[in-house]
Amino acid sequence: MQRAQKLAGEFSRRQQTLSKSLNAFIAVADEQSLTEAAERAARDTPNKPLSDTFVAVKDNICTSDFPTTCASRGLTGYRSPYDATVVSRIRAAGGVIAGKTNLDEFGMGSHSLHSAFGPVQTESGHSAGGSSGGSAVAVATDQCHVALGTDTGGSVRLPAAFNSILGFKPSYGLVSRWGVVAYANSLDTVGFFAKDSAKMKDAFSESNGHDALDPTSLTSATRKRLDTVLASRSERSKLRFGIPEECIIQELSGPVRDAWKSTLLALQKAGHEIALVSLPSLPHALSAYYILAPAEASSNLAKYDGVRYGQQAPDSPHLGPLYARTRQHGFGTEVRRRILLGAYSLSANAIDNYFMQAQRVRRLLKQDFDSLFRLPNVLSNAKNEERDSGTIDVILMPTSATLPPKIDLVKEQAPLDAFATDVFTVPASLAGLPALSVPIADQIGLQVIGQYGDDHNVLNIGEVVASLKINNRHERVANVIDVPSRSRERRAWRRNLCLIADLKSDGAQPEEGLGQRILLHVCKQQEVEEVVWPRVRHVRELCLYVGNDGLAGKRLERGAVAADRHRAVRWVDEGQGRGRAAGRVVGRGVALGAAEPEALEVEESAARVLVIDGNGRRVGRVGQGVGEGLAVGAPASAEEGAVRVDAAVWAVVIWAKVFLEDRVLESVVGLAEVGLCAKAAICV
Amino acid sequence: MASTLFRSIHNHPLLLCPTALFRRKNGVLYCTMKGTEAQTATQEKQKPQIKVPPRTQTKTIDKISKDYEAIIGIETHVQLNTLTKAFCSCPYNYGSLPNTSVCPICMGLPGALPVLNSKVIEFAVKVGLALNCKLSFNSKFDRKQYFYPDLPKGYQISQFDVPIATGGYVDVDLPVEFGGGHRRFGITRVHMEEDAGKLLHSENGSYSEEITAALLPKYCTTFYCGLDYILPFFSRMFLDFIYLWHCYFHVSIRVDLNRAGVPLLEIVSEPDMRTGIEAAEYAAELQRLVRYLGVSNGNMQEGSLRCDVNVSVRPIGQSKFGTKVEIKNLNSFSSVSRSIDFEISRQVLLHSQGQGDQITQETRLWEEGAQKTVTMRKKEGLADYRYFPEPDLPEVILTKEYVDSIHDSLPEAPEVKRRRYEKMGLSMQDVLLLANDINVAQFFDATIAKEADVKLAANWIMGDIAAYMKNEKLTINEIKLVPQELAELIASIKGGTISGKIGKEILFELLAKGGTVKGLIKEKDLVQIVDPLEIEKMVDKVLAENPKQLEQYRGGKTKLQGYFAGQVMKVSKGKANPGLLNKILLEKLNSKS
Ligand SMILES: [Zn+2]
Repeated sequence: MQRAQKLAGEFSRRQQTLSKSLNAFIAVADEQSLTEAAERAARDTPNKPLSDTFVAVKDNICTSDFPTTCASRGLTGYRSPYDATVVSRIRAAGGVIAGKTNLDEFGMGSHSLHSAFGPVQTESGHSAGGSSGGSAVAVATDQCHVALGTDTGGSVRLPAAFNSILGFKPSYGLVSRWGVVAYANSLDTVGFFAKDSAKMKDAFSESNGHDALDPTSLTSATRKRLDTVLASRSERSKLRFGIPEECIIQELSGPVRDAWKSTLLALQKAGHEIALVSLPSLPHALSAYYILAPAEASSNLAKYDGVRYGQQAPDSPHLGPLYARTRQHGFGTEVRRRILLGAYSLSANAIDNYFMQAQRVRRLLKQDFDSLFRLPNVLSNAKNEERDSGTIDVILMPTSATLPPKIDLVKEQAPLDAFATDVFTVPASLAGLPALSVPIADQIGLQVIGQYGDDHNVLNIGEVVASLKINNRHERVANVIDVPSRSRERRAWRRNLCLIADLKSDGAQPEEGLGQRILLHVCKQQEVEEVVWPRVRHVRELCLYVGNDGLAGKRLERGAVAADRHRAVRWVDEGQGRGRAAGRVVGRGVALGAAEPEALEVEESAARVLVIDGNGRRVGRVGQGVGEGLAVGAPASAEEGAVRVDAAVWAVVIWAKVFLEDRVLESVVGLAEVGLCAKAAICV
Repeated sequence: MASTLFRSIHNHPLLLCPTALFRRKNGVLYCTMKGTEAQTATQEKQKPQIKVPPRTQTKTIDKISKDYEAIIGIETHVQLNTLTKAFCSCPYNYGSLPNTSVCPICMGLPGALPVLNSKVIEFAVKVGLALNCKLSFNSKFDRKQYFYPDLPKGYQISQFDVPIATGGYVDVDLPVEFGGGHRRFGITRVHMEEDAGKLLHSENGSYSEEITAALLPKYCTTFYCGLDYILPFFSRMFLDFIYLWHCYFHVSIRVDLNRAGVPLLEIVSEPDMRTGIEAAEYAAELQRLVRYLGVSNGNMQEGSLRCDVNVSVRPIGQSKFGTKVEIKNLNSFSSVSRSIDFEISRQVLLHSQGQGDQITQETRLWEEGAQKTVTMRKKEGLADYRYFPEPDLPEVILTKEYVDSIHDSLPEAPEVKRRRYEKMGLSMQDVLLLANDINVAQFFDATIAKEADVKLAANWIMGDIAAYMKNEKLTINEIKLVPQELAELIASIKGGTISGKIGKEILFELLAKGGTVKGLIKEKDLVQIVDPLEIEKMVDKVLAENPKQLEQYRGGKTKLQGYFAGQVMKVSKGKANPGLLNKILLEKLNSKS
């Protein structure tokens, strides 16, 4: 009891001190009420796992004793008549609700800036991450022990990484969503923040359980089956970590890659295995996410029309305009943007191209994940025996490709770039898998992603990763990559070429391409001949950064075309400029960038286009196709007809126009036309 | 309830609207100059009559209408009478105080999630099977999105591309007074969805709630977020309508959410009907069916059964459909029938005058008072409801065992019952009346199960018993008479234990107070006197007491036989067997002449 009172006082004072500078909370109890709440908890639920634990709750989770605003003007002052199940469970386990934390309105955003109550700040001036930024900052600055967040596409893991704390998104369906204000129902998951792994485990365990009020809650029968599957797994002291090659991307910033690399080396040293794995659908995950989530959101937010909640816009004499005004008045720009996007992708003209394709990508991604893990997925229908058993225990990959940007920079960022922040977090969300962001260096987190239902294991492995002694980042690792002599090992070595190639370059040079993509400019001619070239047949993606001698490019031109029709490279850069222009092989098809319009013709099956000008600079945004679709995207200078669109399904480029420019209407119409007219020429 | 028992079998004399003059060319159905008051389960108050149009015009239309054919399809919403709503545990009772039966789920409060009431699936499967549909073993729920204040979530949980049942049919017998005949109408689909709330209007006023609600468009096509941008892109129809409506009525809107979330089945027919009578009979058959199945009270006035009708007209021989017009605000079967007939003649007239292009795709409102349809709103292209799978609800998976068990528990369908009654030798009129109400049919079945004479049982039920129920406003389940006693009564009369007259007395006793036939006969000593000696004694007594009349009789005034018979009957307290009595009386009267 005394401890509870003491803690209540400490936390309350700390909340008061930091409220102005950090803005982590939307609502806090004053010292007296918090103390009373703590005393009540200590009296009513003594000696429980969460006794004397102060839990902050993201403000899109319903609590009866605080307002629930979702950081939206549309819900200002709304007080829920009931507690969310997760809140009731926390209370029943002895936890004290310490306040409601700030977020991006309705959970939409990656930096916790889009809040009706002002942005969440950090002590360093960097982005707190989002959308559960308030919860992360509250834990990081010791304003509570544990915080609840919601994770739809990374909203718990990203802020956890940016604030150097633990952030856990459990498997979808384990923690009840009853009382969690929906953003995208099929993705929303209650998540947890903590500094202390033990507290995190307690909070999760207490929240985990079937809830009849949530139809998507995992049933007791499946939970039993899951327990059986988990119990039958053989214990292994040495773990096998999977490294998805698709995550080794150009955008990965140096410090993040270094931290990742060092961690892998440390794991290897500790006797664990590192395996390069492939998630072929992963490049499409982000686009699928940004179609699915806004689509569901546009529907979920329809109810906040001001007729029932929050404020009606002043001067709204008639119902129709009232809807329009209230919704404009009540919602922030980011929410409006996503509602518009979602409404569009569900419209009759677009749904087949967008929503349905995205759902297909989601299914493929789930299959990709399932094929990797040793543990079978209890939700999949396939019998254990029929399944190609995977080999890895967990996936280890960065939570964010970059360090948190400065808040000032985020504000200038185009919405598209803000979307891209989620590139590493959405895959686990789409597949419903448990994912823990472990702080591995300052403002850098690595995600441990496990099989569905393997949550406790993920939390345990998180502890393993967190306890690693990570050595000097710039340690040379040449000894790791000696070419093995025996042919079998040599094959394995080749499979790991990317990792080796990456490790081999010591980070001083700009490095491009990993995975089955091959980095050419760091390879010597001999390597190209002996190692790279034979493997061209199998590469999925090839970054052709032509060395100064131009040799590699030339070889590739002829060779690649001959190598494999489906992975053919049409090399358009021959001898151009200073020999630095580059193209990028894409999926099964080909897409090469160049300044010349005709060079942008893209084969139908191409899955990705990168538009690069004659000097090897990327001009224009990368477009990505989904499924059979084709990508759109062209440099600003491209003339009409520069890019042919065949049943395009990727809208990012056009979204950019929708939101970057003022004339939104025309852009929406343009967007519609993409869906309608095959081969429409889009000029961005 | 009694008012919903029997169809009105008399035609309202010359209740005319031009529509009544429409004839089917193939001659199956002639309803020219007959009342169009169709229908079945209602004995409604007589509708206001409208004037007979000029004779010349009706003749013209009559002639023209032979060259055209109407295509009618019906969308029916059936409110299921589950104990609780579709996705929450609130009960629903028609007429309870506004917003007394609501919870976070049906109010669509933030954070609430729907949990499916499994009874909804059971009822849907029942209806799907009864309509001879193919069931989807894997179906799902979808969100249908539109904005309206009575829709708390901003979307309706419905089923879109995979309805629970598709491709069935329903068999219908047309009323005898409209020429009779058997029809089979196709069912396109049956799907589950939830009802919306109701708008209440504070305006003291000229329009009742129902009318105003019917005035309102049920669907709107526009997505309102960022309306300023998109408005030109979408239809402005809805907005304009609301705007005008508000300006005109100066009402403030309040919403009653009691009805929100009540489960509905939407049953969509194939465009198989050709006349108002057929359409009304189709709707009546659906009502009968849902009542037989016990899944809905099917009450049209309370909105438990709602019909939206689509009507188009095309020249006979043309395969392309004409422009479709939707009719709303139909709250009885007769309004279904009459509104369709009106609409057909309206469209036929336009066609015949070469103004077929003036028929536009629109929703028209049936005005009961004026007996005509008026434009409610024009349709500007198809509405986009932006359907997508409901992410909160799991898929609906039916197992074969589940479906089989429901199939085995289905009651006998009205159609099967009618065919069975027909085989028993009952007239079509009797068949339709008996099978119309499942309770009546069950009463009848129970009676004949006790080996009562089929024809007599039908006559009793449709005659005196029905009249009694009508007078006392009772349903057949509320009367005290039980089938076994009716069978006993019929047997007693047939066997001569009691006379038909006594039988009637006993019947009313049984209806009002219950008891057994045997008991009443014994108690009141009502057994028929069949002993000739006893009757002879009574005859002698009467003759002796009326010497004057006897003299007159014998003087040739033979009419007095009736008088004597009456007197003897009186003496016997009505118990004398009339045949025997007359025989003996006649003998005695004539013997001494
Ligand atoms: Zn309810």
